[in-house]
Amino acid sequence: MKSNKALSIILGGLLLTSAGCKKYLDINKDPNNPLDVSENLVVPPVELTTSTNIVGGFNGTTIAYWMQQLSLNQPYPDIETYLIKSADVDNTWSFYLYPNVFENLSQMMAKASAAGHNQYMAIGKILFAYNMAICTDTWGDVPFSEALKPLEIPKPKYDKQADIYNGIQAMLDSGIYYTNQPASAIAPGNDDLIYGGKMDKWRKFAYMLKARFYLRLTKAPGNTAAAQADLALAALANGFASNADNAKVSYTGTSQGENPWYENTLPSAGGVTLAESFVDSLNARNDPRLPVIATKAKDGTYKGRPSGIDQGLTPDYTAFSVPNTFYGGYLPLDDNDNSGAAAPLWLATFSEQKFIEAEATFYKSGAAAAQPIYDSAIWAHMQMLGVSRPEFLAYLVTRPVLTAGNALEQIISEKYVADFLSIETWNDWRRTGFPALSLAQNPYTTYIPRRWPYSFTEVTTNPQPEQQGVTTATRVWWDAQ
Amino acid sequence: MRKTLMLVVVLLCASMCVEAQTRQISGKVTDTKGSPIPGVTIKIKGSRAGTSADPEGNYTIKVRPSATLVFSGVGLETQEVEVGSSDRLDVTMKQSDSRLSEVVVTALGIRREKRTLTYATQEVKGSTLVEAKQDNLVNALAGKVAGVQITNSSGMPGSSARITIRGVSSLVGENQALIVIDGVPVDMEEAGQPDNTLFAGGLSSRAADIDPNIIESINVLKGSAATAIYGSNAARGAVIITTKNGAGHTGKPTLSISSSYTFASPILPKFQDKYAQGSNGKYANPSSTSWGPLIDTLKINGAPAKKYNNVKNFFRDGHTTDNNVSIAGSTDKSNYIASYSYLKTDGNELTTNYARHSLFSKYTTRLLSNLTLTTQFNYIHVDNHRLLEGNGLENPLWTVYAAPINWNPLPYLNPDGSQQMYRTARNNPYWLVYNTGLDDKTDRILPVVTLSYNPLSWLTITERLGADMYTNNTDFHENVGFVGSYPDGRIWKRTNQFQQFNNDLFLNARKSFGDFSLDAVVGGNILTNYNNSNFVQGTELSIPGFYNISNASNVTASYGYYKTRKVGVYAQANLEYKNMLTFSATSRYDGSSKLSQDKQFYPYGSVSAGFIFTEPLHMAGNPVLNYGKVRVSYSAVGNDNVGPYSLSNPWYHNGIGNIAFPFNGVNGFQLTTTYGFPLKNEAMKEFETGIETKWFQNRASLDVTYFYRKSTDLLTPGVPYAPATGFSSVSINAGDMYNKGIEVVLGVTPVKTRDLTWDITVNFSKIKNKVTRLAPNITSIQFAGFVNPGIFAFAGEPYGVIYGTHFLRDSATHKLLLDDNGKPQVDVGNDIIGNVTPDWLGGLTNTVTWKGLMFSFTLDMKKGGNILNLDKHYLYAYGTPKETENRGTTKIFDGIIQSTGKQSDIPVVLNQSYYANIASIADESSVEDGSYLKLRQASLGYNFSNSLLKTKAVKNLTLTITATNFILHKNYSGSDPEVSLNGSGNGQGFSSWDVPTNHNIIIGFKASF
Repeated sequence: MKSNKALSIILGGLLLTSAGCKKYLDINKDPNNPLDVSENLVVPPVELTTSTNIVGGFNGTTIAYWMQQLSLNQPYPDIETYLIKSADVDNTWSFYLYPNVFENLSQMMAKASAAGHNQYMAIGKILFAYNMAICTDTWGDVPFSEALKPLEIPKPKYDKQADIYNGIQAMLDSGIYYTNQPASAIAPGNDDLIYGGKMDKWRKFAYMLKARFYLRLTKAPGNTAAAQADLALAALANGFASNADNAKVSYTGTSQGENPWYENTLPSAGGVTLAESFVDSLNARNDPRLPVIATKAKDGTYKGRPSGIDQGLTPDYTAFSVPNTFYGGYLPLDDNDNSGAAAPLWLATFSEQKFIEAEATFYKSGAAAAQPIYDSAIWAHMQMLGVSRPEFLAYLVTRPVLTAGNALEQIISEKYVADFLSIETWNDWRRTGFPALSLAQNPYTTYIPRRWPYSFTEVTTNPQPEQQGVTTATRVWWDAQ
Repeated sequence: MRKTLMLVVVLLCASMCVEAQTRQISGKVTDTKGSPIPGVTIKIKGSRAGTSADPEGNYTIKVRPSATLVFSGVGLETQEVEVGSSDRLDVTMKQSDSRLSEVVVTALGIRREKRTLTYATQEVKGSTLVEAKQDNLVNALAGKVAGVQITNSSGMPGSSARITIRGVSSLVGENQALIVIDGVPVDMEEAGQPDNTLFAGGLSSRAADIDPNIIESINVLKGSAATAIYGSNAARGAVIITTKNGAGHTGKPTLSISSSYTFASPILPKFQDKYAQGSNGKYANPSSTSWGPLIDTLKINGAPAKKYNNVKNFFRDGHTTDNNVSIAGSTDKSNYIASYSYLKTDGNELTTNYARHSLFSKYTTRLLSNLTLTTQFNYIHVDNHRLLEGNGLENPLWTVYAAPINWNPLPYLNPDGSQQMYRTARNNPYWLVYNTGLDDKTDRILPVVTLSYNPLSWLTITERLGADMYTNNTDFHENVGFVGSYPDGRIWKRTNQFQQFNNDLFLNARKSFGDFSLDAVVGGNILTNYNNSNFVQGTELSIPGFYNISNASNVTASYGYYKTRKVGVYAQANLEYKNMLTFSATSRYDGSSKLSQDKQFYPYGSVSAGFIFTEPLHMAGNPVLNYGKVRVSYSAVGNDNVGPYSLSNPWYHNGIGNIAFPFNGVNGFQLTTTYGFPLKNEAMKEFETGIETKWFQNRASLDVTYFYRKSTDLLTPGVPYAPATGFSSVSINAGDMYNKGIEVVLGVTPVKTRDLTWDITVNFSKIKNKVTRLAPNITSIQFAGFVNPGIFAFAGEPYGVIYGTHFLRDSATHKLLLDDNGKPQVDVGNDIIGNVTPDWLGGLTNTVTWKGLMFSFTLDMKKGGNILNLDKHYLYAYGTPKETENRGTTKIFDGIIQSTGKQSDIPVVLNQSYYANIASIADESSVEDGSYLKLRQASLGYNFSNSLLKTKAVKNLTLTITATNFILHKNYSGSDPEVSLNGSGNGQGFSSWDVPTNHNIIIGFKASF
């Protein structure tokens, strides 16, 4: 009898009540990571992704090698000799751009919009447009209108680049609208690593970007250089006023706070030098910017490495000039000077704007009208680098006067120097053909690539007709012959 | 009325008469050592009446005169005894040595006779594991069990090994078998590597913590029918480990000592030794490649160039010492065992080592006549010093395998204190040995308390509470002067605190009803898991060589808590008819905290049957076939194979490239790139059928099993998704997969005499696996490697295909399409270039015993299964593999010139340009055949007890010499085809700069007093 009682108690105890069970199992809430954060915590990672992972990341290094501003001292075939695979570009598409920038900004703007935080809306719109332009300039047709809807549209279709550019301009206009709105109680400040929350600077930046993107389409089918020039000049009226308005991300230079170009030029990166064609052209013109841009090689001269040369012939990369600390370079011959780590990363400069203005003025009003703007563009860059006015004037005298025949080449070639380590050089080269570059030695392809292959993850998860038959030779829409 | 009364009187008389004639017999049932055997069944032959012996072995039964009593019990030889004149009948019962009454330990620690099992199991004795002389007990199982694949990860001491039973059943998530020790599941994972396994290699494995010396036996439960009672954690099969106890050591306690010494020599890949540093036939220093001139005629700075064998010089011979002392004893009320082992391995890379202390103690005592208490604990301390493996620059093999033969890596420092290197961006391997490293220390305790209560002779109630608790501390350092992302040094410390509690309360009833006997179990289980992880990293060391966080200029830290719980109720019933027909059914209902709230609970169960067809045919005495059983089972199991907190989309405190937050005074969070869909349990349905036969009066046995297992709604916590949606992966129930195969175990005893025994066991398994469906928007899932090449799962393909770049081929004939110079061309897209799943696995164990001498060996064979040897991709470009010695020779490729369509007859010069631009670029060049035939172990031993030792003090003395891990055949150019950078993780078949494994020779002795 006793044992029967024990039995029934035990059996009863075994049958746990459903409600008690459910409560006991209700412990699946993540204590380690927040589910909701405010806008000021979203903006810094997005801005750093843009500067460290994109503009100063794989996009920056690839374009610097292809445009022969830098050279990589590694055996071919490699990125310098145009070997690029869908796996190489995967991080940029599958992590940095769509999830880390676009999705994060989209979530931030949803929050800001609901709360009426106008200034965060402004930053969101402008950064989104800035990065979307990078995305489409690199890959041509990409998802835009159907993007960022994981539940509703698991396989977003690709939009035409023309439509994407219209969307970018609309987004910039929206950003400008928000910069003009009254300040809200919660507004960006220190968390904005680019402008510290100052809306007048963001407004100028947005207008400058509008001009940049208008001028991008001078050769796009259905557009004319003259029309694009007009649009650009109209926007530029409200653009940057001086170097003080430059869009940049500042780095601390301390450990785990270094400039991306410092990281890109560490010895572990394999030996990054300046390219021969770039150094030779600066040497030939006695350009006073050379000592600021480059270091002396081991033998005391300024010397660049021939692009694509057999690495067996160039075993020691310190036999060449490397980027100087102004642009973030690590100095292999002067280990104690790591000031490069604290250099800022430029997203858009006043001198680039001036060159846009010069080119647009040339289309609209001719070489003579463009001349003074062209001169001030060069001066803007030299000023940024700390070159003195007399040196600038001495340099200017050696430059040919702009004529109808040489204006475009002169403007873009000087812009190429002012845009050292900027990804804009590739856009300008594709669009205008300047500066004239010869193929690197030992090239993997018989041409300099005009776009990137679609990312490996994208091709396997979202097959789209636009991906068919695309090689690195396929021109994007605005890169018409 | 009268008639009824008459009837009653007659009956009463009859009964009285009968009573007057019945006797009461009582007695005690003991074993050959005199210990009482509780629970023995005593039946009256020819009648349905019977009783059982009580916990003291006493019984009482009423019989008619001249009745015969039949005594039977689990694992005992049945005895029939005629009732004599005495009313007292004591019986001594012998252990049955017939394999027919083989007893195995099944789920929950319940002992059952193998005869009654309706599913496939295979047993391995503890002594076999000890003989295998492996540091990690999982490795010791290799080649011994059909259907089980053991894959070692590398030759680094403390490395993990992966165990899968019947292939993989989950896409991403735990696929290894569950390890259960004395009824309690234990953790056997490798802790996560903060720097990512791909770049830093693995860490010590928790499965290696278990000392084989304390194991009595291992029973491998293969199918889900066997494990349906364990719940979803055992859906992939279970390895039931039973530790030793003190029973059987009556009288004075027994002291056992064993000791062994292992001498290990590394198995090295082959390299060319003819060509020096340089490029295109010209010498150059520094230079990354070995495409220079012939070294024999080379002069450097006027003197002839010296040749160095850097690979051979870098590795050293390793050695291991393994010592164990244990004491065991028993009385009639209790038994105990205490054991201490110390294992120390020095690895084949300088400074790497592994040390393990294991203290085990178990005490069983009878508190009351029907209440038994067992308490045990196992305390383990592990100390593992490793160098990094994997693709990061901290791995010395980057340099050792790629360095030119004219380079002397020593001295490793230049006079100015910088590293002496042969090129930029590669650390000197000796500098890495003395300036980088990883120290992994673990303290673990596995206590179990079991209370067993027998209120009635046929009923046992068991309450078992077991825990697995450990603290794991990992310290990593790389000194100032490191060539890599952190030239100013870096240290990190990660502490894991793990606690798992498992509570089982179950009833076990065993009762006979005439020809039927029923064995039923009903119980409940609670499993809780708590994990606390702390991580701190410091960069930029102020004082070189001082590895403490106070020395770092920049410190970042993170920590996390993880908690999961599972509850379940289960029941099992086993009905046996006349010792020949068995029906079995199990059912279980689980709830897991990791699944969506509305889908948290899931039921599952199994039904199975076994029929010993030789019984009704009375073939037990048949000279040819004396035992045959067919079994069939069907089970449906659920599974919650996903981590906690997978249902939400959190924001992470990530770094951006080299930038850490807080940055410049601001903090930042990034949204997860994995979108969490609602999750429900995985489901697995398995059908198994088999036949077990014994021939020639148990001189041979043949077991064949066929299984088909279908897994649906597979949980996938990180499946690639179109990144343009804003998320590059999703956590979702996605996809179905099936596994089917056969397992064959053949045992033969060709010779069995008094002095000489010769046993052969062969096992063979062939498993076919296919991922049948992935969720609508999922095209592939990646497990390991880089995005490209990597190990993936695609719909319609077997699990674990290698995906990467390949040579251009004609789609119809599959012939190479060559360019106008006869050279292969690299295709622009990616494709499936290999498959990691083997075609079949087999093993053979051969044991010969002659008087005191014992000789045995185990062969292990794997056929098929590719390995992606990523080293080749790099080494082809550098010009160091042995294969590149053929530079300068020509080869006509078997293919068609693409422009003309004609078979090529153009010789192609195999030079640097070919190797660097063509061979190295296509990932398919790095895919190798992973087939091998290994001599797992061969041992020769002599047992002294019978012959030389006449003293009573020494009960037993055995000397053995063993050889392990000799590769008899491989097609793999690296060290050991049994390799995996992912350790015990899912991405198998991927190798990148793994430490070579060793040949081992071991000598040892074992004595007991």
